[in-house]
Amino acid sequence: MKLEKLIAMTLNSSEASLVNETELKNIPSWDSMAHMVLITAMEKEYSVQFSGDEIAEMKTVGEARRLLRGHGVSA
Amino acid sequence: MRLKGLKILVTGGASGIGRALVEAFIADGCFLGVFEKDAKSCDMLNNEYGDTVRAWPCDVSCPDQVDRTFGSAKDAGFRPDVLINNAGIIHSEPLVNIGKKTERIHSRENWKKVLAADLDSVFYVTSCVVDDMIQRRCQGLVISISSIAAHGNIGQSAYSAAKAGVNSLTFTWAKELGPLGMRFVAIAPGFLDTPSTRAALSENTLARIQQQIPLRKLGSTSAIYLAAKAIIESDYINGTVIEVDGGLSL
Repeated sequence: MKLEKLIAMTLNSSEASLVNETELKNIPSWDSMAHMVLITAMEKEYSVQFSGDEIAEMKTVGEARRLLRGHGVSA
Repeated sequence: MRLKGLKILVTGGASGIGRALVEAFIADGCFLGVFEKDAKSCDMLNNEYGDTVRAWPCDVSCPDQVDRTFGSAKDAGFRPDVLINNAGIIHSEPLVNIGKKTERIHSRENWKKVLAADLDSVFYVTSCVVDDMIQRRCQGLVISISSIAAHGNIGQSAYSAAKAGVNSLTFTWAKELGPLGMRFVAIAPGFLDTPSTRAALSENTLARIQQQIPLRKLGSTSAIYLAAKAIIESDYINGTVIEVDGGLSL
């Protein structure tokens, strides 16, 4: 699944509004728990496991994509 | 969750309900960790059960000890799938003792002691365990032993308030961490036929209580084990308090 679609589904937002520069914290339904739920959803969808530092670094859609690339996933 | 091979951490696992749970889950093929205040009891558990039980001395009402002991457990390779918050104390004392001329008011020291043992401990241990579960992406389970006293028991201000707090934490955490697949459930026992109950209450009082219980009998620690087992095995039980009291709280 495309990353934007996964984020939109998990955080109840519009896929069309998400670009690389979108800060996750600016998505209205985002909070620290929603962030963890998003991480869990990404790990399940792409079969990866992020480190604690990676989870903390993931502030934008683009950073999420970059971190996935680091795990060998193009999304 | 399948029981066999599960790692279960029980606080206050050396006696009473805790000990009964430890013994029953060993028989089910689980590995048990125990945080227990009494160091001698820890030695006994470690000697008695070999590799299936690992007990660490820990006063779970003390946050530093909890952090340190949980670190030791992790270092030893014990990272629980299930936590059972069982440690606690029962304390009875009226809010105002009208039969006394001095020191009539419920001891503040006792209030703090009971809240620390029965409520703070649940917060301290659960926070450490859940943090570790999140790091491991473990969809774990936390069972907390509450009490029907959470509805309010005459002469038990501190105990009742602490157990109501335990229920409230159970609901809060179920909502907060459910999206990560974690479950939180409380078990509220009624009156159990245990040595501690018989030591605390006279025969007459016990007989009167028994008449108030719809099933007309006291419970047993095995009833608590069966409730805990059902909670572990049924992945859809979450955010609730299961009263195991023969119908007393109806």
